[in-house]
Amino acid sequence: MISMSIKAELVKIFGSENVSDEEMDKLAYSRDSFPLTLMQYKSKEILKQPQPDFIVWPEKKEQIQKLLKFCNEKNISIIPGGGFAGVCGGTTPRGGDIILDIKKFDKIIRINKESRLVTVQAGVLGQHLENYLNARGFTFGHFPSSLQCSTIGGFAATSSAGALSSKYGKIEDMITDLEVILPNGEVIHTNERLAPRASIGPKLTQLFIGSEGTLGIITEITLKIHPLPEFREFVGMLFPTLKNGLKAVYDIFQTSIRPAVVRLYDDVEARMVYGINDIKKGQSYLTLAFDGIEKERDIMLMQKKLCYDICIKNSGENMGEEGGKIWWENRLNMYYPNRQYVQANVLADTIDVVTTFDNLENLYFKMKEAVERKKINVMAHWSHFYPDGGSMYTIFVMIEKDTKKEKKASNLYKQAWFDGLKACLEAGGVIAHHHGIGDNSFKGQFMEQQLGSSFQLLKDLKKTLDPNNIMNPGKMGL
Amino acid sequence: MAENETLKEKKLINFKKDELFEAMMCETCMKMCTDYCCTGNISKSERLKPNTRAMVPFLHNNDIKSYDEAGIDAIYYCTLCEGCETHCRPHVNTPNLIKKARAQIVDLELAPESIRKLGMNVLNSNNSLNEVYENRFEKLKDVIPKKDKAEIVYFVGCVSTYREFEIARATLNLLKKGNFDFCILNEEFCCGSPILNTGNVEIAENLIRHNIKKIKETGCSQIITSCSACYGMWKEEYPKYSEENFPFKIKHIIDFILDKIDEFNIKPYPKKVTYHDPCHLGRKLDIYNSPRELLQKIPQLEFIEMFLNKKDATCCGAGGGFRVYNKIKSLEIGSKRFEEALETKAEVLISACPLCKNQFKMVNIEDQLLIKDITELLDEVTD
Repeated sequence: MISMSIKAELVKIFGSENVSDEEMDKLAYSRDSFPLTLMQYKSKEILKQPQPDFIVWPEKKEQIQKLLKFCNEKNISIIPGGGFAGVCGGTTPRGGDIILDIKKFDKIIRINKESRLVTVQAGVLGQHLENYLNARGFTFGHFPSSLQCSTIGGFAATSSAGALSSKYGKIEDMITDLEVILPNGEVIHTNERLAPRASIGPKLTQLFIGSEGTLGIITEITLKIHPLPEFREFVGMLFPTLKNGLKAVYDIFQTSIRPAVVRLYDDVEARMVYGINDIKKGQSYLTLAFDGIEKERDIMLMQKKLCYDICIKNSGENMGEEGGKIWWENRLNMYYPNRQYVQANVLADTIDVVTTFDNLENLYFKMKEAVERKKINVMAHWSHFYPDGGSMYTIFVMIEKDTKKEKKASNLYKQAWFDGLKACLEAGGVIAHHHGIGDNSFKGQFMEQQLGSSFQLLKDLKKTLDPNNIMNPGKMGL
Repeated sequence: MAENETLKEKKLINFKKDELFEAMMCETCMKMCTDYCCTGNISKSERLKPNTRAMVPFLHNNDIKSYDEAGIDAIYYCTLCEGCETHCRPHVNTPNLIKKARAQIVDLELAPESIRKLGMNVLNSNNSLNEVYENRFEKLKDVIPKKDKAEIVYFVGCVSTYREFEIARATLNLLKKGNFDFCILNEEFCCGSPILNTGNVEIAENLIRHNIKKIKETGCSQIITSCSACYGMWKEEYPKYSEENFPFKIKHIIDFILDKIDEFNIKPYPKKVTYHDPCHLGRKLDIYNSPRELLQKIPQLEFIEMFLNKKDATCCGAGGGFRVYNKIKSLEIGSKRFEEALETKAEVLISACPLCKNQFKMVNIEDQLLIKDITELLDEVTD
């Protein structure tokens, strides 16, 4: 009865075509791209996944405002989502929730070629925006591996980063304004006049970037855009040790040069990604890329030469451009299911962590040691750098040959996560660089430990903005 | 599906272990093909993306969850454009899984009313448009050669016969201009494409067997089509249904004319032209270059590519039985592709499929573009 009256109200707000409580819809929305959830999709376990009660597809802001009012009154939780492609369970339901799918907010509102800005609705798919911009000679420079399946709103909500981030920045460097509907229904713009920078108090745009739907619903985003690169050149370098590789990257980042791509791999992942079968244990492999428009080519080539020299000075061995080109062409392959892996029930996942330069190598060994204790293979790459540090992709791969032992596989998977996260915190690292935090049963439970003295402020902010805790509860440690 | 195996060979259609494995591959993906799924993009629903579509038969055939209305809707909410498969790095053939699921749904007598009706119409009238069979070539009788045996058979197809007969007329004219020895199949039935694609396997099989029998009676060695769906059927499906050998050379009119284009006198066509790749011709059969080569042989024609072209081309939205199943959403996809054509600032939109042309005509409400099939353009510029 309660459910019926909720449905009637939702239909009143959204129209019957934009509300569903169909079982297949609920199943489809009981997942995002969190590998643990996907694992359940192979068996009857799928039906045991928590499901939302309803899915709604707003077409207008007023509908979202009405929903917020209704859910505040009835104390019903809302999970906003776009591509539902997150990898930490940030948009998975807990049961009894309403999923708000923002995909019908799909307009590219305007492009300002002079000031190089584009304003889009939150449900625009990343690749579709990139296509639109490319057709007009621009790029927004954001290439996360989920570009084809996630939305601009999702990028903002999870504080994402893409493959060319060293040059074009992370999503927080790209976004200049957000339109957010606060939990009380108020619509705000965080930088309505699109000022490139201002000294008018704290940067409110940054408050909502990475808020994972807990503080409001992002409906519109204005991003910076760049001229579409006309060339891209690569450098490949093999280093005798990981220390040498990290030192070379450090030296590059102490200059003003920012290659578009900077990816350093440990020996295990270099062997897998680049097929360098004779790479020795402990060695590291670096890919650099430089891109730009034709009139910048000479500057870029000079930068490439300087980076090349820095690598050689750090005992790097030139491996040519080919590896980088192959990586660029095939960089998305590993994000698709792999037949052998699915057959053998191989589970793999990534813990994306970040720390200062002086702690990067230590963090690697500490996390590797902690996860490998359970006989799980660990490999890593470092692909987002700053003058003061960088992020590390700690990839663990586990094989559970007996597919019937799913529970065992799932427990082992969770153990790998916890061991990795614990080791990261103990080693002074930060547990997420650009995947976000997601569900409290995973990274979320470490938020208090991670944020320390500022966690209470985050909780207070949440309470102030969302006193009834209706916005994506059970996520981000909140 | 193994070579030469037809869906009909199993009375009760079941998924094999390896097919269910492929479904699992798709459903456990991070949804990497999202941007290429024309129906997923228009529906805005996670249920109507390839991965959930693959999940529907996976659940049914593993006795986890039987087909229900929303699941069946997901299965039919697809144009079979192959955007997902083409861009799938591990090459999971989700469209084939969908076709098989449709056959299973029909087999279980759970097909949606529109699909059931389509099957009945074809059964009664031997064409997919429910037109009077006896009037099949009424609008073309002045250009059809009066013979029933020839070296080449032009297989006209339903849409060119009843709706876009200018395409059939242009094709017939081109064949005449080239002095080819050709005829048509006087007792031509629907090629079976929309029927097979919507799961009405038994009906499709009867059409296919009839057409093969009639083709053999003409003594031809070559079959030409101007319809990309018919072409796909003759090229890929018909050989599976031919008990004896299948000795026919199958060509789409584009490739047939391209081989002989130097024998034609081509007049200038001083217009800006863009080209839409039909899914049946492009992603399914890899014919991307021939139409472009042909267009570029026309003097003064300025060819402008759409941003999304060849394997990336957006579907017109009409195929795979989707326009029969959901006309409103089908036309929305058509409008989207039409917008992409408008962005090129071309004056003429060319395609090589009567269904694509028919779809674009429906969305060209304000006559913003001249819409032609490549055969019509070639007929216009050749003597």
